[in-house]
Amino acid sequence: MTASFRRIDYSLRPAKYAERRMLSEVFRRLRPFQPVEEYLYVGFGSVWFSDFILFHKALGIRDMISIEQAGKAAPRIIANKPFRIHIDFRSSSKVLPELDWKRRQFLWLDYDDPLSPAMLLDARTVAGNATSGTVVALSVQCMRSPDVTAAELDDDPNGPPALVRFRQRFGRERVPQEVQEDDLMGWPYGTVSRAMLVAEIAAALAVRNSNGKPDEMKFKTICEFEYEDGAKMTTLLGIFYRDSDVTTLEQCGFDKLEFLAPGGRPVRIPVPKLTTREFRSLESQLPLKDGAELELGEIPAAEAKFFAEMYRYLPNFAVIES
Amino acid sequence: MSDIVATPQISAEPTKAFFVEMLTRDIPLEQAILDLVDNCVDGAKRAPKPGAMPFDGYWVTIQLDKERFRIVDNCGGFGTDTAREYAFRFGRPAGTPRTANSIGQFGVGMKRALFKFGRHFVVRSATSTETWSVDVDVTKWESESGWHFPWKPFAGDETIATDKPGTEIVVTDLRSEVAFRFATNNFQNLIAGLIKSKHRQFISGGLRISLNGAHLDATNLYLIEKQGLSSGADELVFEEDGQAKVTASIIVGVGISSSPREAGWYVVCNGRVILEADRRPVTGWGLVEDEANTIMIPSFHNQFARFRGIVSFDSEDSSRVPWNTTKTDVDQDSPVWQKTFARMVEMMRPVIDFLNELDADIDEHTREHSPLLDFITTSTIQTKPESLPKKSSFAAPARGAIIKGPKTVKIQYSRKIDDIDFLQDALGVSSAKAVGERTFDLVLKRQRGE
Repeated sequence: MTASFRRIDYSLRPAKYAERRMLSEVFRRLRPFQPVEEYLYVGFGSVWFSDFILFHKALGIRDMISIEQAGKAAPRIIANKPFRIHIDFRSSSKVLPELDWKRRQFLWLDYDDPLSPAMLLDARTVAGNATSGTVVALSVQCMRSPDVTAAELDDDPNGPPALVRFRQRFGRERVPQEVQEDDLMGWPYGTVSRAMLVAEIAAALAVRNSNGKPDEMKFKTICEFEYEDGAKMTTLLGIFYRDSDVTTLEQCGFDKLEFLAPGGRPVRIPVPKLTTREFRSLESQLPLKDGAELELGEIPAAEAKFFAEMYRYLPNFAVIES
Repeated sequence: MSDIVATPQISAEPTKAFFVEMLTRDIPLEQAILDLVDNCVDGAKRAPKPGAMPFDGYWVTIQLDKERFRIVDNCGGFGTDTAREYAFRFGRPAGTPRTANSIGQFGVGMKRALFKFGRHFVVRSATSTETWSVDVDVTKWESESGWHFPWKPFAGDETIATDKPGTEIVVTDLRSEVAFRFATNNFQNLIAGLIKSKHRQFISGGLRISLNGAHLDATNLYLIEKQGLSSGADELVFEEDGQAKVTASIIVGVGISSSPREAGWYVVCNGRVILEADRRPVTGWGLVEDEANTIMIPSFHNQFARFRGIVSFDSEDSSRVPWNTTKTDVDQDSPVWQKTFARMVEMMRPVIDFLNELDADIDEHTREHSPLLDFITTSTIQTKPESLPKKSSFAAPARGAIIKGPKTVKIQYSRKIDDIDFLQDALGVSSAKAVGERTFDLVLKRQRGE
């Protein structure tokens, strides 16, 4: 959790904005478990609190905790805090174990950095404690593994290669056998990061379930996101549920979410590069009538397609003025 | 007194359930799986192929998931006599025929693994002349009197038969905690990593091992050998009357990789890796000479990241090599270990001294300009320890013996982050280090009037 708010205004990141809106749609569907406004929201609010504002206003969530390890920025964060959000100025490793896990929560652990062993331990804490109906989103940066950079910067040409460093940093049990060096960069790195998070959650649940009692706790991936506002990011989103809650889970209808990509593929959030005029022209035709096709004019087809798929979630200011 | 004599004898016979529980507690789950692989290796050792690839053509297949564990091999199988008299006995009775240089010598590995995994197991085996099968429902067996396992008719199939000798073990009705762990990717990765490393020699010798369909290759160790730098090696032989000979070969040297996690001692018994990259006092690290309180060998520190030590014990009688019963550590009380250990420490010292010299050289010249670091990292030849001579002394260049460029000294200082950031932008460089170097170069140029 580096203080990236010094560099980036979260509220201007259009893909992140769209992701936030999509998460909100997911959370809205949790009603079969419990009215969503009774859930506890746990996030990393930074100074912007964009997620807190949206979830409070759109969903009516009342109890919210922001985990923020900002040190000297604390007064500024407090000054920017909207509503009665509780801010915990400790690391997630300290805060997560102390949460009230008897309650259903949704947690968005929106890390700015690439996957680290500490994040896997956070995921393990969540999986070891979550009650049925709790939802977790884990976002990590996936430009390139720091091990690739470390291997490049090593003065020693015989220093350990990136993959060896990666395996050593995470431990051999955590890194899938088939991972190759080019899996440590770009979207493949995102895929590996999500797989490692899922495996860590599965390992924690294996311990939790090995008490011989029926009614296992399980984890189901709802969807995965890939997006890029400058830095490539990926999010794993899933729900914990007990066997006895399968019907409740089905009632949530997560498979009916409009933005899901076919075949369970990650949802790639594009940021269409359109002018204001093009934007308005497309918007006036949406949602498309059955069987109708978009009138494009001079708008590039690919950009128009992105827009038509995502316009409900994109911010109005995602306009490239030329 | 007469009253007591008249009553029946006090029973101290263990219940089977207690026995099973005790047996399974003292071994981690992953080691129990390695034990079963060890048994396969022993099968292959009974009929090695000639040449450098003694295990060529032999294979072991492991499948594990939430429902069952299965291991199959084509390593020769074992006969009904062995099954009846030895294989299922708890402990190894005197007179048991032994496989030379075996690695499954304690007579508990298979049973312990079977009981550890689940409540129902089937073992089938075929040699070139006979076949047999055993089917045990553990819960039922525990409630019955007697210590026998029931035979079951052998059903031949395409994997095992007299023309395809081998053994198959299937455990079902897995214990809850075992089933959940078997199902996780992390556990499967752990097993794959352990087999690659612990059975490295057998895989290099041609044994093919697969886990859930994925082929496992060996993790290899390499040492630097070049003109002026060569590993130390020695071989000790322990012979006592009436006991099988033990040889201990020790190799110390400098590794190719500067990764601290690979540094330390590797202890190998009859080909099976017992300790990997060990950096504990058990293998000499942090050894303090008692009387003078002088340090013989320092505790491990990252400057020793290139230290590699390999000690391999071999004996036809596997009870003579110094390992513990779970093959997870050395038996420190073994006289063979103690004598070898003393020699290990002696051989370690020159390597540690050299690595200290290397560290000092890097301190003086920086990593970029250290002649000694340059010497060991350029045009080095990777050598497998197996191909080294049996006896030789460790040799390395002295500091200062290699001259490279003018003498340099490292500068280190701190300044405010804001100021460094400012200069980084102004000079168009990408790190604090570069800011320091660039500003130095600029001032030097100006002052010299260049």
